[in-house]
Amino acid sequence: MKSPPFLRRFFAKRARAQLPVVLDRKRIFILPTKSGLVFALLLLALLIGSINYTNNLGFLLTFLLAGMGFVSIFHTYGNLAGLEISGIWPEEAFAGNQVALTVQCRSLSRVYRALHLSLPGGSPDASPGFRMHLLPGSSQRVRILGPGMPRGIHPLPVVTIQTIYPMGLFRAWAHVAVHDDMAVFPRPADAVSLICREKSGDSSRDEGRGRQPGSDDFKELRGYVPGDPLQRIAWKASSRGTGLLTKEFVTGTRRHLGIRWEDVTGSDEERLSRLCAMVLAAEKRGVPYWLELGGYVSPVDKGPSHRHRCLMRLAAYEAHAGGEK
Amino acid sequence: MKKILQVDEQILLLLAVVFAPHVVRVPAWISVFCAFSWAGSLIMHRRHARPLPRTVVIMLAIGCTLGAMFSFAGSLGREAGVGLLSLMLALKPLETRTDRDRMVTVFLAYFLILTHLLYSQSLFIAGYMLVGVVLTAMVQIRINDPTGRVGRHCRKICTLLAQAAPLALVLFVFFPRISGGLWGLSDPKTTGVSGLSNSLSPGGISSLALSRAIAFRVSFEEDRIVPRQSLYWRVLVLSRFDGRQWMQGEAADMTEWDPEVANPVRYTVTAEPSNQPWMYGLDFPVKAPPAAILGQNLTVRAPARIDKRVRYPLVSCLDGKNRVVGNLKDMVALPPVGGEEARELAKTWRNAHDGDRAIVTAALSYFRDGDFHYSLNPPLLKMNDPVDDFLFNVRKGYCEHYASAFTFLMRAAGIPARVVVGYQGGEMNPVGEYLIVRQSDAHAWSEVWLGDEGWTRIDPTAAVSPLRIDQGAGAVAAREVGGIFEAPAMGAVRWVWNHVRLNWDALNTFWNEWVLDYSARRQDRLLAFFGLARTWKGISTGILLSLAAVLGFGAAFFLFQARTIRTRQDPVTLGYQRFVQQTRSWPNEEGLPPASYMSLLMDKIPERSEEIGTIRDLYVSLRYRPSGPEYDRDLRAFRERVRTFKRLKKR
Repeated sequence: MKSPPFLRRFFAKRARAQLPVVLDRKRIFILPTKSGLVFALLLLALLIGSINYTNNLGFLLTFLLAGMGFVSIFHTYGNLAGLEISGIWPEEAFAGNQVALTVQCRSLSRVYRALHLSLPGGSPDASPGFRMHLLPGSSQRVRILGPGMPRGIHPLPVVTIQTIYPMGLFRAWAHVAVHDDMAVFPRPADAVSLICREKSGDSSRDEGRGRQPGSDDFKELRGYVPGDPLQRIAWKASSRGTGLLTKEFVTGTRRHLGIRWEDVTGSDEERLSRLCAMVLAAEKRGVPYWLELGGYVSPVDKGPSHRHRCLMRLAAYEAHAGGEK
Repeated sequence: MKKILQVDEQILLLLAVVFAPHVVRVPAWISVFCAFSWAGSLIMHRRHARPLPRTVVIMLAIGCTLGAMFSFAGSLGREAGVGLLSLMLALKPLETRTDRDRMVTVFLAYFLILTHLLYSQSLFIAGYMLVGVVLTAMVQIRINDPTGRVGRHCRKICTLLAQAAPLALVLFVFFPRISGGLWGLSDPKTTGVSGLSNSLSPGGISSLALSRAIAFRVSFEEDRIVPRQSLYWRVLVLSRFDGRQWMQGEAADMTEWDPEVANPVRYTVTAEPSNQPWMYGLDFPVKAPPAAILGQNLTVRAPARIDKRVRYPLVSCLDGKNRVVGNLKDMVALPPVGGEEARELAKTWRNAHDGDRAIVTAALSYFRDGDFHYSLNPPLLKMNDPVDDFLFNVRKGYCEHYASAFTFLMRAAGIPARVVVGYQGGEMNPVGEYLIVRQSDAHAWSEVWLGDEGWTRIDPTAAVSPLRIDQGAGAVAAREVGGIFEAPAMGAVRWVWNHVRLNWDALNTFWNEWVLDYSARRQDRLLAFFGLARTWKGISTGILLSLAAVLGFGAAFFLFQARTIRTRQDPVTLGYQRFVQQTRSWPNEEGLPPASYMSLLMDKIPERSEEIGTIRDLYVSLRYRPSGPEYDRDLRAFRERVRTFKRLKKR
C-alpha cells in the first residue's frame, strides 16, 4: 500500500524508531478501500429503497449492514493495534538481488490477526509480501522479500504492515521504519580468476600472522596440554626436565590470496563486483585471503566473520555519497 | 499466470440461497437461466477454465436485457428490478476474475436480500434476512482472508453483528422517516386476502372455516375479560335479500350520537389488511375511532380501504339495548317469489303465537328439534329455491345457512329482521394478553326488532350447535375433519403445540407493533416523549441523534480498544516511551539501549541529571526485579517521575 503523497512526505520527515515497535494510533492509518466506497454506495441504494417503499425491515437491513461496516473500521484497526514488531533482521543482500528481511511479530491483544507484510516499491511480483495469521498472544517470524537495492549502506527498508481483514471495506496500514542500517554488497561478477600470491607486499603479513594451525611446517615448542596427540610430544626436549612439551606445526603459511583493488579493472562498481566475487570464491575454496581496498588492508583470514568484514568494506566503499555514483 | 475463473462453491451456494425465494416470483426463464449459469460456472471452476471472454458476456448481457424488456413489457416496477438484479447475478460468476469481481457479487447479493423484504416483512423473512447477511458476510470475509479457518470467520461475523446490532437499533429508532415514500410508490396492493365479502350467500363463510389467517387482534383495557358468548364482532349488516344472496342495504350515518352507557368496554383493535373499508367492533359499538364512521346499523367503517395493518381504539356496549331503529319497512321486505313453504310455516307461527318474542322462540326450537345439522361441507342447495330446499329438505348447513333462513322466516312472520356478518369468539393469548380473531371465526347471525327491546341478537346456529359458540369453529371443524390432535394420547402434544403457537403469535404481534408499524408519526411521538423537538436549527433531530450515536459509539469503541491493548503492554516500556516523548529535543540518534541513553542525557544536560538519574535507576531496578510489592512500589514511583518530567529544552 502506497500512502498518499502528503502522508509519504510526513513519513519521510518522521524519525526512525527503535525496536521493539508497538503499533498504536500514532502509527496506524486507515482509509476505505475501493470496495469500501462501493459498499457505501450500496448502503445509499438500500436506504433509498427502504425509504421509498417505507420498508421498516429494509431500514433494519440497511442499518445492520451500515453498523457492520462501521464496526469493521475498528476491527480492521484492531488487527494492527497492539502488534509488536520485536525484531527486523536483514538477510545478506547483493545488489541486483531481492532484499529479504526477517520480521518478528508478536501479538499483544486478544484478537486473531490476518496481516500482510511487504516492502516498498516494485510490482506485486517483485515484492509479493507475505500473508500471515497471528493468533492471540503468539509471536511469529516471517521472511519478506523486497525489490533489490544498489550497493551501499542503506537504512533498513520500511516494512509496511497492512490489513483489510475482516470485511475488505477498510485498509489499515502502518509503516515501520527502524533506526538500523543494512548493507547491500556489490553484485558478484560472473567469472573471476583467483590470483594466488606468494607475497602480499606486506612483510609482517608474510611472516605468518595469518597462519592456521596445521601439519605442514614446524613452528615452535609449547607446553603440553592434555589432549595433544602423543606423536606430537617432543620427547627429546621434554627429557630436559622442563615438563612435557608439544611440537606445534602450522599450515598454509604462504598459500593465501590477496584480493586487491589494483588487480581488477573497470569502473568502480565493476571492480567492486569482481572483488566481491573473489571474496566469495576464496571463502568457498577455504583459502585464507586478504582484501586491500582504498588504503585499507585486511588481515589474512577466512571464515564467516572475516568474509562479512570484507564484504562490508566493499559495500561501504565510498557509500557515504549514496552508494552508486 | 493463467487466469482461471475465480468463482468458488461458496459464492455459488450463497447466490443459490439468496435467490431461492425469488424462483417462483421471477419469470421462469430467468430462474432457469440462473440455474444454468451457476451450474456452468461451477463446472468451469472445477475444470480450471478461463472466465468467459468479455465479448461473450456482453452479448449475453444484451440478450438478457432484451429478454427482460420483453418479459416485463417496459414496466419499471419491483418485478422488473428483481428480474434484472437476478440476471446480473446470473452473469457475474461467469466473468469473475479478481477479488473485486467477487466483492461486487457479494454486494449484489446484499441487494438481492433487500428485494425479498419488499414482498414480505414477516418474522420468518427477518430470520431469513439474518441468515442471508451472515452467509454473505462469510463469503466476503473469505475473500479477504482466503486461508483462514471457517470457524474463526464465523465467530468474527457474529461479533461484528452483535456489535452492529445496538447501533442499527439506535439508527432504526432515530433515523428520520418520511411518511409516504419518496416517489409516492405505495405498497403493492394486497391481493388475494381471504376474508369476509360484502354479501352473504351459501358457502361464503364456510370456505373460511379452515383458514388460520388472522383477521385482527384485540387488547382490552383494564384487563377486562369478556365472556366468550358475548364476543360477537359486528362487521356488516345485510338487509336486502334477493332470494339467494343477502346484501347491504342503505344505512345513514350516525351523527351526534352519544348514548349513556352503563358499563362501556374499551379496547384496541389491530386489524390485518383486508382491502375493505370495514372495521371490527364488538356488538354493539357506541363510539367510532377518529375519522371512522359509525353507521345507523351500528357498524364502523373507515373512510378508505384498509390495505395495511391499522390500530384503532373502540368503545362498545355489551348489555345495553340497541334502539337505533332505522327503516323498519325495509327490514320485512322479501323477494316476490321463492320460499313458499317457509312463508307458510311463518304464517302458522304468526297465527299460533301472540307476540314477536314467542315467534322467535318457536323458530329457534324448530331449528333445535327439527333434525338440523351443523356442517362445514353441506350439500349444495337447489338454485331455484334455496330457502325451502334448506329448511325442508337438506337441513344441513353452516352459520350462514341458519342466519339466512332464520331471518327469512322472521320477515315472513312480519318481524323486522336482518343478517349480521362478522366474527364470533377468538382465542385469548395469555403471553401477550390479547385476543386473536382468525378468519375461521367468521360467523353470521340475525337481529330482530322486538319493540321495546330494540334490535335483539338471535344466533340460530347456537340453537343447532352450541359447541360452535362455546368452543369456536375450530372445535367443530376438528371434530368433522378429525385432526390428528384429537386422539387422547395427543393431549400433551396439543398442549405444547398450543403454547408454541401462542408464543409465536405474541412474538409476531410484538414484531408488527414495534418494528413494522414504526412510522414517522410514532417517531415524532417518541421524540416528544423524550422532550425533543422535531428539528434543531432546521436540522432533523433524528439525523443529529443518529450522528451522535455513530460518533459516540465509535469513540467508546476506540477507547475500549486502546485500553485493552495498553493493559496488555509492559508498563515499564510504556513509561519509557513516554519519557522519550519528553526528551525529543535530544533524540537517541545512535539507538542506544534505554539505560545508556539516559546516562548520555545526564552527561549532556547536567542541570537535569539528578532527575534523569532517578528515572534511570528506577528503570534499571524494574527491569531486574521480580514482580511483588516492591516491584509495584517502584513502578508507581517510576510512573510518577515520568509523568512529572518536564520536556527537555531545545539545544
